[in-house]
Amino acid sequence: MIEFDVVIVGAGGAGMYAALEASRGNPSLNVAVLSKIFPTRSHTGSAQGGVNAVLKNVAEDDSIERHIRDTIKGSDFLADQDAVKIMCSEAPGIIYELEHWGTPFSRLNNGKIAQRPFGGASRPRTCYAADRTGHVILQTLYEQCLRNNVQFLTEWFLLKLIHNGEALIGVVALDLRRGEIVEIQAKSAILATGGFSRIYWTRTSNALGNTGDGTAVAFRAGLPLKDMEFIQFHPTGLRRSGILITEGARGEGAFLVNAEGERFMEKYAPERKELAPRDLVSRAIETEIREGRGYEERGEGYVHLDLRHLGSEIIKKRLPQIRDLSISFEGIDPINDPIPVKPTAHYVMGGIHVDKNGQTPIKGVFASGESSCISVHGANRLGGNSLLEILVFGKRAGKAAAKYATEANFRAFPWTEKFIVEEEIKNLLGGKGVERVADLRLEMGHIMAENVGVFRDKTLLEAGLFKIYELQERFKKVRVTDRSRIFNTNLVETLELKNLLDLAEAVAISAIQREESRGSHYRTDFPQREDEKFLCHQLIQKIDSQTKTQCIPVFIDKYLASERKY
Amino acid sequence: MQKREVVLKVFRFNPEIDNQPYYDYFNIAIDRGVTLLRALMYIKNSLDSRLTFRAFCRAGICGSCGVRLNGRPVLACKTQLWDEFDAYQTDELQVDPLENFDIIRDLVVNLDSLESRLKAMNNWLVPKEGVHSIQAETRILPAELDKFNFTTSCILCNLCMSACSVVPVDETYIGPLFLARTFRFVADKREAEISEKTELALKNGLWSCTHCNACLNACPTQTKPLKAIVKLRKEVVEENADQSMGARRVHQYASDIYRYGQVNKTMLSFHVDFPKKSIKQFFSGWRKILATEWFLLKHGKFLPPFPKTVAGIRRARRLMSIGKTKQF
Repeated sequence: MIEFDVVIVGAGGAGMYAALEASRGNPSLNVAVLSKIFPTRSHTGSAQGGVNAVLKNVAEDDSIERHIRDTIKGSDFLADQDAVKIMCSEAPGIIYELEHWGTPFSRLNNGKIAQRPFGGASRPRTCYAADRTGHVILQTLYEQCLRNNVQFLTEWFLLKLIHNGEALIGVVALDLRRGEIVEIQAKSAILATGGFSRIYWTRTSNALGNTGDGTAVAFRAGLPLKDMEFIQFHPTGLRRSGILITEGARGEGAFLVNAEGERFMEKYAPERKELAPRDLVSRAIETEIREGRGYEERGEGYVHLDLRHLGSEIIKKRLPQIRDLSISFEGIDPINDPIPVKPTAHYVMGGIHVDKNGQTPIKGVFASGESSCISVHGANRLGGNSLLEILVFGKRAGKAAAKYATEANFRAFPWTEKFIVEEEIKNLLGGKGVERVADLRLEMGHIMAENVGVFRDKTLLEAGLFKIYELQERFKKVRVTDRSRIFNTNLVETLELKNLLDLAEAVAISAIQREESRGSHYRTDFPQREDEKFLCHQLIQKIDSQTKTQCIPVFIDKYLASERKY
Repeated sequence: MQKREVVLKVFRFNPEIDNQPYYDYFNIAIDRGVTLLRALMYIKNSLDSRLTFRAFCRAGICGSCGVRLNGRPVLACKTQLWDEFDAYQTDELQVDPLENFDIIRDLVVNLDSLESRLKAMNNWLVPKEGVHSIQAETRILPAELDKFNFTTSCILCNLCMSACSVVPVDETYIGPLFLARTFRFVADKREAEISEKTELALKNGLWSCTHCNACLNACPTQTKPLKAIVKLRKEVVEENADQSMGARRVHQYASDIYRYGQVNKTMLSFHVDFPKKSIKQFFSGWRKILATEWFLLKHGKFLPPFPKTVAGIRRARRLMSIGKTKQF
């Protein structure tokens, strides 16, 4: 057994900012970051476009108020307005702090941080570093964590969260390198394991490991998850791989064009066109494809993202990474040809139910970033707000967890827990199953994309949920061929699949319950937003192995729900 | 779509089971657009789920999936197999783990040195106190950013460390990755501890790089480690000319060539190894030179301490002064 005052699971932007804040706030605290991959591999590094903050470097008439209003409107009024206010108000300070630590933001000619327009934003307020903003922020945070002597447990996999129904006891994790199951006693824990768009398996822009480990572990430990039905489909994933072409491309002026050569966004969002929010653009593309105006390859439709009119100069200077991605993964140079794109599962608005300090209903258990849900994104996240969320609320969670750890005591670790987990793993390794992980997860992705995708209805969703239950049954007969203790990636992918299946179930159930269309959740059988009945967050929780849902109110300050037009 | 039958010969070693490493041969069919990572994933999903490798973002940005393909370090996710088989004109390619690291299992190597070396080099920014206020950003002109910004694309994938020709033979050399990072901070006007950082670079082999270009060719990003190392050396030479052997050597080469059109080999050691800091050093320098000359003379050789100036020296000098005024 090892001990830490604060243990942070996940080394992305939220986890590392939390670690930094916890270790800076109280240097006597023993802070460790546990991650299944090397810290800078985290998915924060894939965020291309930028991070929103009202610096007024480009648009002098921008204001925090506008940022709040844009975010709430973008969320289809499901965001908690007090939390949004915190996020937008603390944004400039966070950007200056990162800048202070060396983050190489792109600059204007006067030396100030450059800002670009982004989907759903009424003013250009997205700070960026070319098209690798997440990458440079992640590097900066890692560097500063090293500077502050934060400990890293690299390549450790979270298995279980242990609490006594009231407060945290610790976590159980697998040290991949040595193949050992380790009990970690902690006063406070922050789950910052990122999103779980991998429930759509291949139909996502997400990394292979975005399997929602923290969210699933919390769900199984009886913690409530929130707003799980809201999955953002990014409009422009590469046709074959789902890899993302940043919204920054449209921010720079790229067009979306259908097979008839029509710039179709003019129909759907006459004013904002390509820069309408993501849910709207994704539905527009899907509609074009469904109505036969898309291109087609091997039975799968797509449209074109055309950058050619921007000229090679701008493409090379401001969008080098997306040019690189198009060439590497589609064999297409956007300087000469349009890029084939289609919507791809990109971001989960839902996650572990937390308050503005990342606090879950269990004392000492915190969550932050995409794995959590405060909520600041509501039913649809605006581009450039995800990096902002992980920074602002990662920092707040770090501060709150450190404060709690300073006051709390260690709790006795029940000696049985390690054996229970060991037994589970042993059963997996010793199993004589017939099902293969690769088959199950491919099917899961297919089911989720077809039944719980961009367009949903009751019949589809219920059939989807039934099929997920079937997969969960089949998972019990899964075969782990690799029996070795050392770096067993076959075991890890099996455990990840288990997490994904639990989360897919939660997403499908939540989607069935919400009989309205709001933000990214679009029900063809209930195409209208129903504020009277559904202007609420939906919690889903396991109570005595029963899955229960429940509605809680949205915090509304002064921005009343109105029609959402762009 | 056109298919092609190929063989991937993959390095295997599980220290728990195997006495020694071996190669597995996997027959697969690929079409255009299949990356090495997709092929490895296909093998793991369908042929042998024990095959062990790292992968994460599959889009060339996380730096997890570095391996060697026919000896050359690559990111598996960015390597188009069809083109590789074409380039090597073969039906069989070999996949190995990165070089210069201990092997944990199959294609997974031990990268613990990454964290410890970043720490050893203070590879982080220490902000200047007082200059910054949290109410505003530091003004950095685009040109000031461009000075070092190419190095910030580094994804810590370690391909340069695998390719480097000095790392395996010189334990005191920390490697291109970390020196490039040091340059990144030294060239940043926000950095407060520039001399501490260059000091660490000097201690850890700034002058040991042999300009072999291997890191440049291996780097999958715009980082260009060698370019950063050369620039860091330049900074060191300009800032504190006589403080390091490498810097003194550079200076002596330049002044000899300006004077004679060639290097004065006899006196080189005198200037480089014995900087004229004390009388004692001055004498021990001369003692070494005389001993060497005496040794050579005994064997029928003599190196003139003041070599002849080469023909065309004026043109050489003119070229050098042009070189001095031009920025590269």
